Amino acid sequence: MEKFFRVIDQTSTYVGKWASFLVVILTLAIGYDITVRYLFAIPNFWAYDMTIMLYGSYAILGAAYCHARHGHVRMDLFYGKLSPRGKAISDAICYLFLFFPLFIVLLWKCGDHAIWSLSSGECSSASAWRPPIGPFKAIITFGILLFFVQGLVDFSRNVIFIFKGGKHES
Amino acid sequence: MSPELTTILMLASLLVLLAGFPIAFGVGTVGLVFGLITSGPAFLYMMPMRVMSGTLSEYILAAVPLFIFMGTMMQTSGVAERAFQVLHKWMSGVNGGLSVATVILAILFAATTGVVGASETAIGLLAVPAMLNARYSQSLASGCICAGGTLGILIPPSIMLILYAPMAGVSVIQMFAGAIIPGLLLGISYIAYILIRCAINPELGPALPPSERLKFLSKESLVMGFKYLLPPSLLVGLVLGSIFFGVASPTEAGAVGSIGATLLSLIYKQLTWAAFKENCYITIRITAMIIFIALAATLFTGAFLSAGCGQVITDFLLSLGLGRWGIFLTMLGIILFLGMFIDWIGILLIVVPIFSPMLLTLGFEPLWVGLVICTSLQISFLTPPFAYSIFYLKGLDLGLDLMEMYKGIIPFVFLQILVVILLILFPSLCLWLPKVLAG
Repeated sequence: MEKFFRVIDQTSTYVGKWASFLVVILTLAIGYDITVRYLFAIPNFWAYDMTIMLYGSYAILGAAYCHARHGHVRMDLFYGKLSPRGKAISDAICYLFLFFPLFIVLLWKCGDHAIWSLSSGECSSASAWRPPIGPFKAIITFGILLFFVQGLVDFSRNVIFIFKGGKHES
Repeated sequence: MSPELTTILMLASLLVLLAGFPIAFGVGTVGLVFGLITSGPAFLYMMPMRVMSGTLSEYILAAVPLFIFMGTMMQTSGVAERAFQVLHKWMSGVNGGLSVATVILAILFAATTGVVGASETAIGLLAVPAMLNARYSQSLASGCICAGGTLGILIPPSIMLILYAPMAGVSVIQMFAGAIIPGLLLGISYIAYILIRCAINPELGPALPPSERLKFLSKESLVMGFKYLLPPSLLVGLVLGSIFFGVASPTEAGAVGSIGATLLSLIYKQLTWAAFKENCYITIRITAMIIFIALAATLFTGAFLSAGCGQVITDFLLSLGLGRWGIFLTMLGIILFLGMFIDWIGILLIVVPIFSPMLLTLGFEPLWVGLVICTSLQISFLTPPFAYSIFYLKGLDLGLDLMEMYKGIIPFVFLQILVVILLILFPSLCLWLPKVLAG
């Protein structure tokens, strides 16, 4: 079981680490756009939409990686005082009520919308470029899916820890 | 929407936060449940709009990773170390001079990093050992670092202002311009306090022996200043200047800043492939954390506002006979209270979208409201039990006593409250600079 969990961890981490270089691409794309615009007076029709798509993909593809590293902030007024077992129980219950319902609905609705967008050939209306926006929405759905699976793994680890004890990393 | 349902919603969200689960999940779930109760299936239809075409497609939010990346690169470049060497020598002849140098460094650094942890860590590692070696009191040393480090979230370019602006419907540029005077006012009040305190009681921060001083007007001092202080100052000037003079959007300026900071690390020969990769990894983790809270918060505030809860609360507060100023101060009080427990990202993204439309209907100037709230959030870093600044400083493990740290921050909390009162009494402190820039 733990082997399977580790594969998911690694997948989230790989995706997050590779996606992290998108900020460099974003920086260079904007840098290029500004240079060309001011030095050679050539407007770039793609800059606005490109910025948005790079940013959106970047933020959502990092979410599962951030979760794998326990990077999402908590308010640990009481949580911080719990024993490891207490933390695992609290987390497992919270996953059932506060994580799965939200993520199932998000996946369902965003997935539906992404499929519609891909099949209908929806185009961005943010600028005159009007690129197809389906692929971007598919990437967002993929990011949510990865996040969901990472949450499922963390939940399972907590449950195993509650009943079997052993090592617990969070 | 009935007052009962509003109360339940408020209590549910508080309960969810207290559970100690990542706040993004709890807040999003409460939003989903109440959206379903009040708007039914229409809320489900709205969700992809809010998530995909909303938060994740907000052009201005693309500035968030760019400024975080710029901050990590500034840290890699080691400009803080170099700048501190110069400032340290210039100021060491005065009682309390090292603390003053620390605050000045914090103001400089505040303008290059948008996240509190980053600037405080860098400054703390440099300044605490220097101050302790010079036999400064622990409380003064920790106080000036905690207070100075938090300036990073206010002085532009700041992530806080970038997140605030689209929620409240004000321009980021105006917020940036407006935050400069409050930020400097805080910095100046810290410096004045340190100087007065150390003049009365030199033992808190004794001046260094003349052998370690450097005359301000000497060749060596000018060369050092030119080499170590000028490049980062120029970069800050370039980034802020390009925003204020309308040459670049804040998002574009973030990219310019990132390129500049990377060049600085190259010039100072500090950039390794490992450091570069690590900066990328940290940036995406912080960005994902912030943006996911923003995403969950739009679900929450969407449900809250479309159900008319804001109106219910406003009516309730008005029926108490508080008047508009009473309501304003109550809201500020709630923000300060929450600030003791939740960090600013949570407060900003959950509470502000609820409060700011109410304050708008009561006729307050939105820009001014934003700046007063953002300045007040500084206080949340220093107030126990959850004083994030102290946690960062403690995390550095520099041998400071925790009680001394708490003692040290108290005067700075009072200074922050004083500045907030000044901003409330004299709104032009916030509004003058944006007005000048708007022409």
